[in-house]
Amino acid sequence: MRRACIVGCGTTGFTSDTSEALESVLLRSVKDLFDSTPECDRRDVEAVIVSNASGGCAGSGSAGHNSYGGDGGGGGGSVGDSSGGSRDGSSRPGSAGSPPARDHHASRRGSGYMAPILAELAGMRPRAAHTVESLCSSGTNAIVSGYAHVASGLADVVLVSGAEIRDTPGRILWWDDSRGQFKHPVYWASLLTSGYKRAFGVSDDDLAVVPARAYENARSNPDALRPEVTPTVEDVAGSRRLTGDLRLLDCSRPCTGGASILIASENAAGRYTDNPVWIAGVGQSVTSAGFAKHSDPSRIESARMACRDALRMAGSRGGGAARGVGATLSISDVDVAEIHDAFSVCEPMILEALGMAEPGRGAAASRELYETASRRVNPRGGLIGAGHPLGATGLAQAAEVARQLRCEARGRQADHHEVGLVHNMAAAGTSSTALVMVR
Amino acid sequence: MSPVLSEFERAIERGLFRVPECTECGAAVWPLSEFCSVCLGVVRLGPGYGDGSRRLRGRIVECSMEIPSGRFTGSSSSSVRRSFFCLVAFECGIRLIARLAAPVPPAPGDLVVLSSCGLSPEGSGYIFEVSTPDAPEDPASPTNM
Repeated sequence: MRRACIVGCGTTGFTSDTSEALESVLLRSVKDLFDSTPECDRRDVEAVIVSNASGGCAGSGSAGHNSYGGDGGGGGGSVGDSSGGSRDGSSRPGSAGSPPARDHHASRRGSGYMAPILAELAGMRPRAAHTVESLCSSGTNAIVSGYAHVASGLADVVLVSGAEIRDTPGRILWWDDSRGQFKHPVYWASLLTSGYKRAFGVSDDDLAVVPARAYENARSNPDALRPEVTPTVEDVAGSRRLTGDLRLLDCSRPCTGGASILIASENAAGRYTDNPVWIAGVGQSVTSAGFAKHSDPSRIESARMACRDALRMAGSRGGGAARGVGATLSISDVDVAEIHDAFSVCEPMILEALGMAEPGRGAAASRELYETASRRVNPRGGLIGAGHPLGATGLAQAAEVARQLRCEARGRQADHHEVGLVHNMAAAGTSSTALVMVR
Repeated sequence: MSPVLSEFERAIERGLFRVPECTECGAAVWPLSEFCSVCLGVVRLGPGYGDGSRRLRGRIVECSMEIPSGRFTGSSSSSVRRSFFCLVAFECGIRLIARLAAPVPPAPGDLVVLSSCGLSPEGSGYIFEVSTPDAPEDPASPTNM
């Protein structure tokens, strides 16, 4: 396999705008990428891979069911609104509710084929162009596809671009009838929260530090949905109850946003940058699709397996060399991590799954991160602080780690970093993808 | 829609939950599919539960409380029946999230029975409700699902 690295990144601001077309958001992140990577000629791009949680068929369907009547929140599912679904498990993008505001746009008509559309709009003529859909982890799965193109020799330069419109139908997994009428993500999040609190004696107050730190970190992220909002621990604790175990400020908020990265082979990378970030390890795990198959509601097993495999691969490929630790690499070598904190409880659960905290000590680790104002984990504010545009999230996470490793994170740059990790998951943690990145 | 799904929906519309079972290995298949996830055998529907003639028992794996319209009062009055959503492991091997109305919060391991099921009026899927059994617990009831 050939080595592959990230040579450029682009992001858009995250907003609550639902009037923008999917291809417009994609294109803005691509423009940001090429503006900041002027050495790269767009004609060099041999493959374009788009990430979108509705498979490119974004729409503003709003059948009105499963609505929570709130004004935000929801990892992969807005508390404030919902989209169509049917009993046979299929999504119904745009099938009900008001007509889309700007239905002359391809995405607003429910069109797929978004990768070739983006290629045309950006003036590229790649050999391959396709879309990756995997709900909230579409972004990192698209990166894995791009990585595979380069590593296999199918392409030397691949553009991976992800975007989402806030009211995407990709927020809710309608297929999962094991959730009964409780299909909205706040329900699985509540059950994981309840399970985690019960298993390890954790309180709601213990978890309130997660959003407080996330929003504080997001203050220095110009792309964040609302960087001016900085709730305290007390604000989180006092925010509106959605269920017995979940408050409004425990939830990430779906939003509109885009992010792109450019992946190049070792041979091509030198033409574009002298500061590449290598994708040294890839790990993926799918334990199920349905939530009810969770064997233990206090753990996210897919995260543990994906991160273990990513670190193992990075180590076996000499990823530890940067740290002078030879052919091994462990979680303690990771300087900066972007993890999928769709809801407060996800942070401590994932810290444990990654090995950044001992089992049952994740909440204590979250508190330590909060008390030390650490930027080692989720320096851009995570999903809770920055917002969660599903198809862009994994790409925004990878772009952040790349910028941190390249010392280009500006106001949120922490220490000098050499090893980074991205963890991105979907559908209540039934699947995870992890990437280990080294300078 | 596949024939087995049509048949299932006709039953659940009448309040009957017919457990999908593999004709080859006997495994319960949920969410419903035409073929078994264990052996890819053909799936058929077993007898129905929910009309009171048979009881489908299960145990709560995890639960949380519903708060309609976000109006959380924190009331601990035992005279008020509150609504909970529970991940339940049924003795047939199926796990799903169901609603439980109870005066006090249920706990993992509590025994419940499927009391009703149906189609969501909004078209968002199936509705399941469980209740605590009236009769004293059967010593042979499932304990480790």
